[in-house]
Amino acid sequence: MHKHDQMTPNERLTAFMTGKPMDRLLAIPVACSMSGLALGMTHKEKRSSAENEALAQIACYERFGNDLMVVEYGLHGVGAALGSEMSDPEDSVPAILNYALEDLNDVHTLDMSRLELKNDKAFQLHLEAAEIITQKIGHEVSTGVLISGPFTAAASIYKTENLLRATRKNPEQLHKLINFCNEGLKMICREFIKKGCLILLCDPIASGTILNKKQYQEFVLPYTIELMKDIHEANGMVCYHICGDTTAIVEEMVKSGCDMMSIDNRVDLEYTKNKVGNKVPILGNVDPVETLILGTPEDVDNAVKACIQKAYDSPCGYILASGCDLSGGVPLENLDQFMTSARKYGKWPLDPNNFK
Amino acid sequence: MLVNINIISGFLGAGKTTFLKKILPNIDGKIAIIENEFGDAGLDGILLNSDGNIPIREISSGCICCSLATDLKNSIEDLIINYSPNHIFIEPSGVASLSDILKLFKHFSNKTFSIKLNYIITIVDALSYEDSLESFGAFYIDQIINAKAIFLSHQKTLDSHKIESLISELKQHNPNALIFTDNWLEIDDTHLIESLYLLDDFDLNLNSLDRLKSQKEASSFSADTIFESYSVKKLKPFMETELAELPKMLKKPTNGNILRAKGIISLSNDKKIHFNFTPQNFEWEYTDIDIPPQLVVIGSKLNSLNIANYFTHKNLQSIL
Repeated sequence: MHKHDQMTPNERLTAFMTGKPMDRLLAIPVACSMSGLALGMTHKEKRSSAENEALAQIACYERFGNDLMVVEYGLHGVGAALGSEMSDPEDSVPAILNYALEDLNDVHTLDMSRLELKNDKAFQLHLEAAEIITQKIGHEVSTGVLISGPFTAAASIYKTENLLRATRKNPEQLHKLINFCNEGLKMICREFIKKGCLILLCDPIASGTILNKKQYQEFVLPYTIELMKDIHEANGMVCYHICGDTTAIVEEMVKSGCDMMSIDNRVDLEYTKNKVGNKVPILGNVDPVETLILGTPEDVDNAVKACIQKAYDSPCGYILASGCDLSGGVPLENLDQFMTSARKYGKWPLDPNNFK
Repeated sequence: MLVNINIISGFLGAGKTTFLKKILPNIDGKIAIIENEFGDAGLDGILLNSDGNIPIREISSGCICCSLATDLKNSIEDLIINYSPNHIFIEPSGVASLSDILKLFKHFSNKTFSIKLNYIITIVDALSYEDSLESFGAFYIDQIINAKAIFLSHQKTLDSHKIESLISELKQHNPNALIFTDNWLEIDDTHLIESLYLLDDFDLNLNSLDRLKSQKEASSFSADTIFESYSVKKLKPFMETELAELPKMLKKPTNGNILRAKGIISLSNDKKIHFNFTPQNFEWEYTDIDIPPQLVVIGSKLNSLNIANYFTHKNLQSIL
């Protein structure tokens, strides 16, 4: 347990879920992509072995006392397993060089068995990382897996711009592709759930910045509902996140059946609280780039305070979080500050005088 | 050290890479490129100029918002430190949010270099504009709203009425952008670059005025921000004494509103001159460049017939 906390993250999470008092607000800076920094590892080193991925998470926990460990199945995992060719950069998240699917009409040629655990080395690696983390610190803190939603998974197989075009030009085949991804994701999520992982379902390509509401309703929501139903049937829990400005679809997002909802810094936290705070706990939304990567500890302190001011009284509960996964060179002092501010302003019992 | 940041936005197929291929060989100074996509039509083949290879960095397009911003920042810093370019050209993914990219540059103050947001250009595919506007999320309009200049592509098959309504819609979204209506694909590469220089002039002009008042007060420059270019080949020879008349002629309202003109003219004494014209300035010098006489003018409401007549007809008086 972190020296400045009185409860372990597991105790805190249990208290949160059952409405009992805790020592402070839950605080989740989504330290996934950048976690290697805590050990001086590059992203490539971090992703090179299950051991490294696990050690990076554990190092973050030891330093920050953050409330959730996150392994990285990632946003491109489905595409990579199906044959999308990936870059191999030293210190950033790999990008797609060539897409597995060139012609959407070939969607029937995609081979589901390539997504299975026994056939996908990267999948095995991330699952093993989750096992190591759980084995070493699982008694104190839970682990989640960052995984793409169905639309983003489709964008890892078929180029995003063509995908968008297909929403008009070839919706029938596009539905087949998304459905294929969804079936794959169900299978993948079930494996992580077996290891006790929380599902962090991220669907950035379904962002309001890219899709409009109608497209979201047609190409994203029905699949997400189905996926979440399956996750629940497997006794899993899911936090749903879409990047960018989702102001127009926060109410749609909650229809997915998610257990928690995380919003990007582009969406106003108070607005989200008012719209969906009575339905699910909400997470958010310190700006990962402007504040946590490029800002100073003072900026971080102000941002944490502003978030708590807006959302501390959200009816179903509020969890302080970054607005998105942290990638790139986050100064670790900023994450120290994130947690320090969470302990300062989020001290239990919550008192608005503490964060005026 | 000053680094010019140039961003060429547009949806897939609008012609970003083609545009870059046309302008890059004519940009002065050291150039570096950042691409947001892999395996596209590829700039690799053309990137040999007098400096040798132009470095290209590629950035991932995984999570559109955050990793893009950090990767972009890292790539720019890396290029500046290792290569000291005068210009960095960024070709973002078609679904990138231009405002997010621009926002990033607020954080680029540094002791050793400064950043200038130079050409912020969006290429709008005229054929699919309406469709795209309706179908896509905020990123599409964001690219139009935040552009300093808009170039149209694929407008050739549209009738003039449709083009006009497209332009008026673009202007509603972004009244400050310069809109180039030319079919730039067919413009000579060296002439296309003149359009960019016009953008420099316009930028200076706007910066010297209160941005809010710019619409009105910039009228001496031009309240109209819709531009076209016109080029003339096979120019008639001039007498050296006629050159003094050139700026007067180019300023004549009957020719339209000419904002830049540049050309090579042969003189009757077998010499050649190179000239540059803006409404504020006219200069010429002798040149021995081995290019046939030619001219390019850029402005609005150009009267191409008048201009052609003046530069190709022997009888100057017929239009003066």
